[in-house]
Amino acid sequence: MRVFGCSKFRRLASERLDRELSPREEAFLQKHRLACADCNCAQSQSSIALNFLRAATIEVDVHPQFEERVIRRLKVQRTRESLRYWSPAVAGAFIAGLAVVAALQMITRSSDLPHFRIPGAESEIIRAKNSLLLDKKLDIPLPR
Amino acid sequence: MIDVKAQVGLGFDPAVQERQWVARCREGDETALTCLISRHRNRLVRTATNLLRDRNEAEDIAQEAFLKGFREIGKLRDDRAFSGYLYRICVRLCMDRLRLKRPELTEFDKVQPHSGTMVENRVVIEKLLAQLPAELRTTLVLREMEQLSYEEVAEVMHVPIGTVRSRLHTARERFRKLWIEAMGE
Repeated sequence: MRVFGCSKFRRLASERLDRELSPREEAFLQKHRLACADCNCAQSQSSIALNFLRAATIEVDVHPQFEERVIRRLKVQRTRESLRYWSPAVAGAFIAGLAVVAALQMITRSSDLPHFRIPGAESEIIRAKNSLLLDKKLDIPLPR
Repeated sequence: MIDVKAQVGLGFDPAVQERQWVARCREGDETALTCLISRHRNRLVRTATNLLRDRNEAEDIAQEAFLKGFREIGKLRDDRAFSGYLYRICVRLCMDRLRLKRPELTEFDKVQPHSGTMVENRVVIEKLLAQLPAELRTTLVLREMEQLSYEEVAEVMHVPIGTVRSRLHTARERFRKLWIEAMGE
């Protein structure tokens, strides 16, 4: 049969494992334990279950090469990070280098190109120049 | 380089020694790094093993905790706080790993934990813990297995002490019920 104060009993029973209860709280636990069979049973079950849990604590032997492994992983991590840090700069420099090489090649190729001469074009140019000079002398305004 | 006395730890306050190692570690001293790993590895691996119940996974998590700790060692304001800082990282990594694993609903045969061997009991515990959510499981393990105080649990899990108290109460109650279920009562 459950009686009034079961939840308070369970809470205090749990806290009893972690702190010293006041005499009043202890008295409450004692009184409730006698009155409520369910809570009494739950408390003993809880105690056994927790002992069972504590007994299953694992004490481990760490691998003898643990330090070496961590240091190795740390070095790999640092290398990766520095690569990640520098890779945009390296890529940028590479692209810029490629652009410079391409530009240089274009310049050298353009100087190698053959010059084409159109027959009669030179005499036309000379005639146009002369007419311009004549127009200047006669103060005829040049068309804009 | 670190002097031999400091490494062996004779006549030196461990806290002072650790501060020295952390400072040297920042400068890239590999010996100091090894000393720090040696000092904290057992605790980290043990806690991770008890939380995850898997030795290999625990060692992996402990290594990750060291890597993260050393990567961010420059951000550490107080060299004395390194130990707690490292432990917090480790517990949080474990919790992240536990969150990825969903709580398992296990059908228990009628087991008799008392009559079983140590290994059998551990398997039962593993199954029981697997059914608890990550927060409850971590709180319970840190308090019951690792014997941390409320304040320490609160600091490690980054929650108020009141939350630790209520989580611990809930975790104990749930664990009891699961244990009874496993016992077939």
